[in-house]
Amino acid sequence: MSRDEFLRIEDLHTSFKTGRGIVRAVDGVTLSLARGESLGIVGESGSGKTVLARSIMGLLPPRATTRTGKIFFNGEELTAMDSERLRDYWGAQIAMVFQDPMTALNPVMKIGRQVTEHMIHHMNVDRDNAKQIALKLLTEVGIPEPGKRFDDYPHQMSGGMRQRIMIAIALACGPSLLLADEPTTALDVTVQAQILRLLAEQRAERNMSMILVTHDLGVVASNTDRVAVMYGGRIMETAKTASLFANMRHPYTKALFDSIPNLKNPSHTELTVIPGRPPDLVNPPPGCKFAARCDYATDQCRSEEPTLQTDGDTEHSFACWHPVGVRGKAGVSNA
Amino acid sequence: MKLRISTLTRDLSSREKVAFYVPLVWLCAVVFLSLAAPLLTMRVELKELPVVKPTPVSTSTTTPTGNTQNPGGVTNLGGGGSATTTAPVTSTTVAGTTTTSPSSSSTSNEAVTEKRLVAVDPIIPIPGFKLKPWDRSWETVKEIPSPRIPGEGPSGDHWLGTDELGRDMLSRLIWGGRVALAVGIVSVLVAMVIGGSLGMLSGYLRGRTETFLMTIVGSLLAFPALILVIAIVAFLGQDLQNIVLAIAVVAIPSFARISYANTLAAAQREYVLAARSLGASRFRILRREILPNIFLPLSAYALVVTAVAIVAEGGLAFLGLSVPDPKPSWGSMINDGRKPLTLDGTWHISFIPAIVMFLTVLSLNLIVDRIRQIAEGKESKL
Repeated sequence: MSRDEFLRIEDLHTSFKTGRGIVRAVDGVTLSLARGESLGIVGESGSGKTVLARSIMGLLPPRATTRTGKIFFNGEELTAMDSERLRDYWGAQIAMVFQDPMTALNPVMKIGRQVTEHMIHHMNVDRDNAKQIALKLLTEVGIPEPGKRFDDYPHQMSGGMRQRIMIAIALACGPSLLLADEPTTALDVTVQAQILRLLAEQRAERNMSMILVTHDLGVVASNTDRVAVMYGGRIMETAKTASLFANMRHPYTKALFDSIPNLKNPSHTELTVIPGRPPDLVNPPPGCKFAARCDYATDQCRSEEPTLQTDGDTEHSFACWHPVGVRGKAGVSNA
Repeated sequence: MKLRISTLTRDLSSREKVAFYVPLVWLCAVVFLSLAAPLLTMRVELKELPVVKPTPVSTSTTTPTGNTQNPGGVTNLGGGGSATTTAPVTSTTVAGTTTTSPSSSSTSNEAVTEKRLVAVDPIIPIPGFKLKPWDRSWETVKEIPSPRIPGEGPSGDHWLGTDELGRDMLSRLIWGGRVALAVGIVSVLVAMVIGGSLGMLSGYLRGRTETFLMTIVGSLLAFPALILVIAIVAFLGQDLQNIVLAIAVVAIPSFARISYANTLAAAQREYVLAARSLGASRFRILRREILPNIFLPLSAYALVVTAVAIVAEGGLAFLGLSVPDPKPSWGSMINDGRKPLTLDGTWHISFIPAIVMFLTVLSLNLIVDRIRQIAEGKESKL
């Protein structure tokens, strides 16, 4: 791979030891990301997308967790660093926005303190300077009257406000990679759009790379350059966003897409769903992980596991024995 | 998050307000009197005093030369011919003897010092609140034969009566309150700090630290508390410091458990992960993210333990294991009254300290309940 690689993940496996056995939450993921690029990771619950994001950070519970594979960030191998060195990256160069702004802010610490604390640590600024930067930042993320809000506690703010604060905290040290783990899932739709717009603006302004983890294809369609679809800890299909939506090759991607309710349908139309449940990651079935729920599954699917392959378009790879070939279903859902 | 008394009583009915303010006033009185005890009571001290040639008693203003000390408000309590007032203020009756033999042999005018028992006026004399020179006579109980009536009931001279040795009950209660406060506050603070940090460390670091620390805590918890306290006091010696220590040791495991459980819950919260993702060190996470979040439950529990510790000290003292004898403690005062009670039915000697202890513990519990209600309301709002 010779592209301008800012982040490269090679054959990443993350597994947890549980009472029932070893859960392979991320099972051989290879990805790369260019500077300033935005990558969406899509999948349903339990597909391993959050664990993937946390594995990139190295933010996994240390006990009963094993992570193998290599992660290169800006030419440095993150997986080879000890936690002391990693701490210099965390917050400063790689930052994370969490899913639930209601729980991700410390309830007993003032907003201002939460925004400035790591700035003082990472950027060697004093408290007053940090406050100046923070006030500017809070204005940028759309907090009205940041001076007044600076001394508020999280419970005095709405969910959207808190997520803005979370974003301000993540952006404070000017990271070059932002991991957004379902940043809008806990918010209502209008606020969702505002937050996504804010993330896009900030990304463009700072030439920041972003990994956007979500289960919402609509969010991905309008906010990312590339998409990776995950299922059962593996990447099923990855392509440039436009090409993925124009030409879905993996049955899972298509099933996900079809399950988005279409407003054009008359009312009382039955919703399309993917039957069955995500695979048990302790004893995964042999072969393709999606085979049990796939309309097109054959005996080959159930016994042999497909690898990522390309077909014409080198940027578009998919892991399927029988890729769907529907072309021309252009247009994007509800972006 | 300002905690004002007015916010504590804001939505209380007038009856509930009484149930809050009366205990509060009681507790404040106990704390104030205990802290101010040395200021309020007249002390009997052994002091080096200059002695001059015995002269007729009329020379009340004799000030010997070479007087190096400043016995302001000091009255020489020596009996017989060696009694010489060295200060103008004499507010008390003669109520003591010298401990050393009067060395009245010096015939010259040169200053000779001698150890004598003197009564020192209270620093804050409150009119009508006269605490007698024998108030703290537990220090010198054998030396000062005072006009005391043992087992006397409450009177104008002794508001709460006298004990079986004729010592003023009120002043003994006040001095005993210091012991109760020391145990209730200091040992609980010590236990909270030590137990709290043990629990936080094991709850956050998990793994081997957790196994190691919680095993210690568990075995400490399994050990019979009373026997442990008796062993510690017997081993280290019977004084206030060691009693505070012993009760702290017994209280440590429960604090550790509470802080452990709360840390486990807090460490799972996303804001801890968020702090880690921003590069916070372990110590920083413990101090700034977890500690503030477990402080409320820990301190609510601390107030409960304060009441328990006061009762525990009383129990120890009743068994004769608290501060050594002439020093008063509520529990030992209850014990002191046992014999008069069985002999001739003098009940107030046991009853009054028991009531004082009961009211103090009850007040603590009432106030703790109220604070906890507020705190829980706050927590649910977060």
